[in-house]
Amino acid sequence: MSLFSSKQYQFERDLLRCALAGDSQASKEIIRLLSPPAFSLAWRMLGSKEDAEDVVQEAFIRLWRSADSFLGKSKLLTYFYPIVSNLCLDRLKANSRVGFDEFDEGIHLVIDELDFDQNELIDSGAIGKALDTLSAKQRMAIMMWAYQDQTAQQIGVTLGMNKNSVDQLLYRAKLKLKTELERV
Amino acid sequence: MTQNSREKFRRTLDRLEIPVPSANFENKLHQDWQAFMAQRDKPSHAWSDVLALVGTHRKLTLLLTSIALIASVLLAQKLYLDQEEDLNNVDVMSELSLSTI
Repeated sequence: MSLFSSKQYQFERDLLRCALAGDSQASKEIIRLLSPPAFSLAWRMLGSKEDAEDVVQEAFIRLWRSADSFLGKSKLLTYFYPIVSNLCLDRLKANSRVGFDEFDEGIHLVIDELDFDQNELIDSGAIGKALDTLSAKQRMAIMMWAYQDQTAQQIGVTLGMNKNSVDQLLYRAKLKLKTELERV
Repeated sequence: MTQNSREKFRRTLDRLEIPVPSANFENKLHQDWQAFMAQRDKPSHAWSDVLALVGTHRKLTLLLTSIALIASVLLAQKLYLDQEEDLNNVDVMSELSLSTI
């Protein structure tokens, strides 16, 4: 951990403490710091603005409640992301018309490196449509992997799956996205 | 799945345009914080409520306590004097009765 990171973490911890001591400016600062990336993550996971806003609102309430357990050893956002993603998971499970736990593991694919370099010219709409083809579980896993730097094992703990199944889930999701994007 | 492939993939996803949250979204979050703080500071039972009020309205509490104390002293004094007067009346009545006999 560099000295700068360490100071930044402590600054965020102090800011959170000030907010909990009743400092309105500190609370606004935390909201400004966390809400845009949290909203982006929630929107990418849920695909709905209203749901994403609801989830971020709930996540902030949980942050205030659990603030004492933030020790300033990591970025506040790193502490906040799992709160957001767990709430997204709950929302997806509740909203999922088909069972969230259904997972087509029939055939195990050989996991290969997928290259996304050729997609430089693809626009936002195409990426959105490609993401919509993923199952709720695939979408969730891929966002946790891409934005929270989580390993398959860590994702598995959240989703209640073993590491190999998560590897398969991620691979299928990426393959599906790649295929969809190549069609454009 | 290497870190490199993760970054490439993230770059692709980053091109996805994220909608802007509602205009008052951050205000809502701040109002939630205010509600949380108010709830947290709220006393958990009636006696704590009283203590909290005492803490916030010290001058008024002092005034009310003084009034209650003065009223108690005056009432006690009146009761004591009334009692003395009653005893005197009893004495007078007794003397009157005796003289009649």
